[in-house]
Amino acid sequence: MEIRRLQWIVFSVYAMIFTFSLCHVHAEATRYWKSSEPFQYAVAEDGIWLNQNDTILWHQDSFFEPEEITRGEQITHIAASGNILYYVTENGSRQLLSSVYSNGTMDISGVLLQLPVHQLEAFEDGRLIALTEEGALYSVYDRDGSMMTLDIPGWENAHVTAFSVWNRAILAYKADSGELSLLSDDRQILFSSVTIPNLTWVQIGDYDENSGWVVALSDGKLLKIDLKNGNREEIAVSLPSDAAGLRRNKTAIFTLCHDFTQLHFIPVSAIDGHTNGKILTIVNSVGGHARRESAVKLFHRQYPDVEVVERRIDDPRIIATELMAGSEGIDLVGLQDSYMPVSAAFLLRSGAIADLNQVDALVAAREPYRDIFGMVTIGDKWYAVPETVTMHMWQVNPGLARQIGWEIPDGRWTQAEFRSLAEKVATYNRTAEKPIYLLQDDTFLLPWFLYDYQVNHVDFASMSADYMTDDYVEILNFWKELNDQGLICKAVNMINPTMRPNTLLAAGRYDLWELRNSVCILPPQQNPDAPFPVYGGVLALNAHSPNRAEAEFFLECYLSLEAVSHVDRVFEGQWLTDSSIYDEQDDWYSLDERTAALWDEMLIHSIPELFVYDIQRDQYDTLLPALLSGEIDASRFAAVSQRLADMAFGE
Amino acid sequence: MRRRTITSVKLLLLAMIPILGFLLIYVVPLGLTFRYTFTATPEGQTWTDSIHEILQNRYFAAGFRNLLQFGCACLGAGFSLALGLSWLMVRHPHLARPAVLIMILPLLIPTFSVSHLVQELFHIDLLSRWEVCAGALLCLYCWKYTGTAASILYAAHIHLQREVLEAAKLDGCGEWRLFFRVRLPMIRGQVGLSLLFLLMDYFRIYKESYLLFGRYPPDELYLIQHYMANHYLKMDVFRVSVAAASMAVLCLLFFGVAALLLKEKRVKTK
Repeated sequence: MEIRRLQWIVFSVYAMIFTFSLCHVHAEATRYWKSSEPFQYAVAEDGIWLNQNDTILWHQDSFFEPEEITRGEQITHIAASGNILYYVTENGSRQLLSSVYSNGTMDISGVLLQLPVHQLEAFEDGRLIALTEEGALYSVYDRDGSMMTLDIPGWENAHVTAFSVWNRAILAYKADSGELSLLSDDRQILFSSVTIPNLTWVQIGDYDENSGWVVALSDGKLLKIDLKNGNREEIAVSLPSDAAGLRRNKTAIFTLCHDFTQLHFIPVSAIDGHTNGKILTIVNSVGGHARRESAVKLFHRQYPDVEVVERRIDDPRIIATELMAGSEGIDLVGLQDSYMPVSAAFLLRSGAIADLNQVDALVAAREPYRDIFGMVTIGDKWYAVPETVTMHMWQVNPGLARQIGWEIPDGRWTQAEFRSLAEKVATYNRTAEKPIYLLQDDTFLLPWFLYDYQVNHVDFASMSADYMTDDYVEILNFWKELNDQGLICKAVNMINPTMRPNTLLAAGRYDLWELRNSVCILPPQQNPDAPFPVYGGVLALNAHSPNRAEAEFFLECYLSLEAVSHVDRVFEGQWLTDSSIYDEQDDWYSLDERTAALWDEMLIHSIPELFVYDIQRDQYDTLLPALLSGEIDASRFAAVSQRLADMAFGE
Repeated sequence: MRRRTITSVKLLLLAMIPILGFLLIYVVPLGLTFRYTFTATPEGQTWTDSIHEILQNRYFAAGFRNLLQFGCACLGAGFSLALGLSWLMVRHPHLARPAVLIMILPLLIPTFSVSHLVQELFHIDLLSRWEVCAGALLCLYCWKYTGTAASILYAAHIHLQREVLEAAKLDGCGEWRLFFRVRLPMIRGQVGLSLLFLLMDYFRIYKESYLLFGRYPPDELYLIQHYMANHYLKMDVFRVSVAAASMAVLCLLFFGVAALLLKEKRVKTK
């Protein structure tokens, strides 16, 4: 009897597994976010905006909780463009348009919209398109709220019930006639209309001159529609019941469940139908869109059948697993040392990422560059291609410098000179009516001096660190003295630090453009011949990639003049020897020549700013506060740092 | 005969799911781990050089040494505590049922939710002495896992034949003697089981250690699990595999020797 009962259980389990395997679809909507309360969403390239109970949240990493950005009253519509969110609030019968950056800075606030809008969408470049309650599409000018109807020859701008924007196109749908049209942002019809009844939400998939497809929701099903002939197929994807809304970024299409409490996404590649071919996957790249697009075009000349797909993986354990497994999940991986739990140096040592010096074509591709590759070199190994650059640069208040009689250094200067400056400021403060700060320290995590020490005493090539030195103890004691004397301050607003008026110097890590209105100097160095640490996003090659040849060629394209000319030199500095390759109309000439020259000096004498995350976190969270409060002395700080470094490097 | 065959097939079908699960979740990954141990040698190094380098590594050796040393401390403390608790429950049977419930409860509470409390209680931070850290970890281990062992021992106690115990008492056995000389030998199977549970739980102590001290604990508490987890994040598949395979071999040796000893003892008893 017992056996019979068990037998039923076993067969039930088998039956369930069998049924599941039959029902299994080739793609599945993955839940991105769940809330107990209904919310609205808008999709940006590197995150999701949420509006929940009139609170605007920015959700950059699905690994973490969303961050509250701002609050509004009666927010009815939201639309994302880059890192800006546009939102419409209702005030009586009026609708007001506002916008906010993901760092919390307000852009526009309460601009009265000319007409009431029913749906609002934004292009990547910030242009807004609105659907009014009358069913017409309008361009919206965010500065004054004025709206201009979209007049497109051959297309009637009326009775529109749903629309979306993507890339440089607008997809409009009219429910009463079932007319679905793809229009360009410069007011042309890209594809003549096809007729598909009963669509509720529409979204652009992909298109070029000859072909195009879109997706749409109809009776709770996701349809893929060929714009050329109107053929439609149901996508075998498990959607939440009565899904509402279709918005997208480069990699995924997002939709809400019927009660607006769960956001789901489907990878575009799962719908695109290209998944049967070879795919080159780039993960967490932070390089500019234009550079990447240019590289993809070049890449497709040699590998037309290989699809280049971008993915974002927030959980570093997934990256670790996939890199180690050598699966097709990651071919090229974007690394930023401070965001990874493990330094690129360790990945290079373990052989997880490749030494690019072994690839002759890539070495040859460096020829048109200035000598900037120190920033991506560990020992004699070149581990990645640079994407973005930030560097430790100091700003000076020239008025205060004159006031205390200090001559601003033109080039490199030493920590010994900085010490005499500190004495000068301390002397000045003794008699001054209004004392000044010597240094506003806005450096990420640790004071500059510890980064500078790392340049000379932590060797990521041989995996050794020497913290138990008199120099280190002296630097720590000096930093404590400066703090004890009240010569160091922090910015009032650490998110957008600006230099306080009563501060002589400000230390921080910036891109070049952030320094355009400042008088800058190089940070003082312990060893005046030492290189400068450069921090940035880099693109590394998975050493075990099954698409190794394709990945190497993509990097070659990524390094090509055609692609790199899109790297904005006003942000990153001039990487190429020949300046004529750059756009002559760029803002380079508005930069201070002196600042640009200092930036160049650092760029061509650079090494990567690498992190052993746990050591830096412990130094910042525990050791530095303990040192400054007098709980521990500098020797103890050094000893604990040494212990941690020995363990991290030695294990 | 036919009936027996059908029953065997049914039993086989019944066993297939757990067997498949075991193969899929344990045996295949273990096999792959052993394969990587021999194949995933770092570029430019021979296998013997790589193995030699790992075996010579100070932290690899410390990981194993600390695993054994701290394991003895944890098992010793955990088992003694479990024994004491079970004895108290035997002495106070009216408290036994609520006590068992309370002791099982820590297994249901995520360690994460109490690790911060333990950190506060012991003032654990980067500057803490290793003895304090070891004490905190030991307490967390005992709090979490001793209850199960104590419950197993208590369950064994209450199923002992009362006549045997009464006879021992009549023969003049005191409480202590009765416990150690009569009760314990009679429940040695459950003693082994509780030790096995404590040992299994000890191998899971990395979670508690990570929550208290992060990836880099004091040198004296650096376990082989730290070595594996840290190299996992460094994506060093070779070092992870070598450490995992070494640990598997060590466990197999340990259990093998234990099984042999038990077998010999059984033969002698017969």
